[in-house]
Amino acid sequence: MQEIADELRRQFEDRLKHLNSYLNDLYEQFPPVEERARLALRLYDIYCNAAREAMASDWDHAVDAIDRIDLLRFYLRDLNERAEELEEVFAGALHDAVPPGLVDSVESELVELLRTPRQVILSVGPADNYETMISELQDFVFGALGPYAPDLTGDLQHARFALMRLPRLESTQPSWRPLILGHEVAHLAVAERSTVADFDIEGRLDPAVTETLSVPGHLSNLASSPTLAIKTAAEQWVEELICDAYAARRFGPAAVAALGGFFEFVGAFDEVGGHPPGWLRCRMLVDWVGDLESEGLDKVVAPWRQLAESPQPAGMPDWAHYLCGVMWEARDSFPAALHDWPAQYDAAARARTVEWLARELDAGVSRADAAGASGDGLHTPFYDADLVNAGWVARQEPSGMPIDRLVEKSLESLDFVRRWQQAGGDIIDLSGVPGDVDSGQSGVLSGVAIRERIHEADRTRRLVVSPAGLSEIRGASLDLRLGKHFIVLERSSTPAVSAVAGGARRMQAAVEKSWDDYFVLHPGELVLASTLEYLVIPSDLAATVITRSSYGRLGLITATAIFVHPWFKGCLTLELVNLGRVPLQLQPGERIAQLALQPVEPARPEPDESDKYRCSTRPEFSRVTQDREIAVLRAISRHTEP
Amino acid sequence: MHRHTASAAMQRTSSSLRSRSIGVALLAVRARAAVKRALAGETLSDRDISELSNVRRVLAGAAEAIGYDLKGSAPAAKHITSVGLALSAVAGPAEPPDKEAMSSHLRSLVADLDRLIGGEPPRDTSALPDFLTGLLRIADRDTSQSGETLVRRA
Repeated sequence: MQEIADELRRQFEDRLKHLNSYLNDLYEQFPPVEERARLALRLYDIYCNAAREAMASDWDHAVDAIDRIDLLRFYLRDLNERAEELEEVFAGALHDAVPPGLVDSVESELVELLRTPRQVILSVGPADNYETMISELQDFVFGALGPYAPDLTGDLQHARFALMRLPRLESTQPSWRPLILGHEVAHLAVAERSTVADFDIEGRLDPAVTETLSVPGHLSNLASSPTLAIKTAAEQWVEELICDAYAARRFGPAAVAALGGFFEFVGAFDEVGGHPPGWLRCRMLVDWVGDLESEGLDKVVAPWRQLAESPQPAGMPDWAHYLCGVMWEARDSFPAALHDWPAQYDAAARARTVEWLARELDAGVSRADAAGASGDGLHTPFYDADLVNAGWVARQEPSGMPIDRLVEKSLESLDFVRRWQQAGGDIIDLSGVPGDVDSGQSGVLSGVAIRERIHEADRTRRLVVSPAGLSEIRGASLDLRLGKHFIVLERSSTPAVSAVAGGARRMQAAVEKSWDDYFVLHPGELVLASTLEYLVIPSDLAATVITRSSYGRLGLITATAIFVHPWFKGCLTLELVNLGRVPLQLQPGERIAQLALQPVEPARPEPDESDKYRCSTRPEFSRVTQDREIAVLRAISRHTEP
Repeated sequence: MHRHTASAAMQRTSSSLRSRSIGVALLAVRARAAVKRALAGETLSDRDISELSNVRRVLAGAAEAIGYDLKGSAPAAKHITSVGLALSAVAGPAEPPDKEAMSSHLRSLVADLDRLIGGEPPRDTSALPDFLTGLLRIADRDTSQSGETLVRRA
């Protein structure tokens, strides 16, 4: 037996060593700007030392080999838990499917909801679930060490984390924001505010009834009375429904569509357990959102209203059937429980704005402002819930436009504008153009003419620049700012790249920076970037994009392909090259380029869906291999691969 | 990590329950060593007393939880794990629980721990070691990857 104990100890110490090595590797992979993740990883570093010391102390204190074997068995299990967390949470957080912008949004949301700030770490998890860690990370990591848990000091002592895992498909799509910025963040708020305890679901249960019911399957191991088990299940359901109610409060109709859609996606409509059935949740969400006068928003909710009106799914266990009735009777109490939570989204009041935004999305336009908009009743500034709802409205009538991508771009720009204003930046009113302005008959449009085109009533002649107003329009050009997305060229064993044969994609990688981060462009390096501004060039204008002279003097070239065609819609892809001798540190939002516009004869009909770079919202990988003549050139060439 | 494949927006519950089970298991091993020393007639160190006090707190909590249940009201959620482990350790998962008997048994174990802490021998020399070993077996099952019994696997 002692040999078994000795071997388990050797394996434990070996595994600790490997875990520590993996931990250090993860730490190095997170850039310094990812302070949240690095702070959390320090906890695991401390754990490795504490677990080693605790085990050694327990080993010496044990009486015999049986004690030592049992000790090592559980220390190994605990170590396994830590390894799993590092793999699932932290390695997953490095995955590029989690946009830095979403991390920022969750953190901002929690500032509103919680009393203490949280360090947010998002990672990609299972495809069928969202997961939020409710317990404090410190308790999680050190909990099993019990009295041998170390005393934390400094920033680790008071740091509080919010760890969430998101399904890959939904983490990048703004349509699903009600799930994470509504339901999931509400779990953290419920834990902090004791909302479930205050709800007092026990007072709504009848022990004379509950004692006759079956014990919920997921709680059967408690082997206790049905009343206790059903009360536990009821509290679990109350928490989930409170979080659903918050999603509805925060996002209105979009919450119904997003949650309902996800329940169907994962097959949760009639399954019961620690969660109420999706059927009940949809029914409650529809009830909370209420009737909608807006035709567009009503269409978003309509399918779920139909599902909610369907009979209760058959085959539900008696305890679940009972709880569905209890929860439905208490349905008004869920929104009421949120009375002191942050402000409610008024879908009725915002309907006009949402519908206007939806029409813009259908036309392939990303909007973070209403500059140049005609029509009354628009609410500005926009809320993110306006944009998410507009996306759902736009998706009801397929237009062929990349709606999710446009909504994501709008949210991104909105986020920048907020930060701009919070940092003291002004938003310039570009309206008030004097009449009879020469709109460019002489060649390049003047600044005044540009402003006129931004506020043009005729949509076909309107120049869209969104967001607008971050800088004055002077001279005869429009300044453009650097976006937060880049495409970098990586080292590769590819011997050559050919436009005809392809191969460039293998050497390129997309990178997204946070607004508060910077990108380093090394001497001689070429990267692709894009403008912050989303542009729509009308059919009778063309444009040229060039470097602002202040940046040219630093050695920066912002474009090699400088001509912009009429009908262009999207963010301009910029080819950035550093011709200087030192690296250039570029922050997203810097005003690095300028756009000059000139009139042209009204161009050919609007490009169709085959236009390769249509409605781009970030730098695009080259699609030259999709050019029509590539097949001909390949047929001529005697080479098949570069 | 709780993976309920048919529901959305879950808390991370099973991992926290596993961590808690591991913590209770380590506590039980430490206490069992102290019990063995006491039964062997050795003088208990401060650490031994501390270990016995720690496990006494857990068992007293479980007894209190079952007591609430017997009175018709429900214990706090924090007691659920203690109750689950204790009940399974005493009654076995396949047997319907006799809550009165379990409550009595837990109180008896707590009383024996009080005697040991006070330097006196327990009334039943095998009850505590057997219970603590039983607790370890349950925790062993509940913290193994294939044996998620505290939460339902979809």
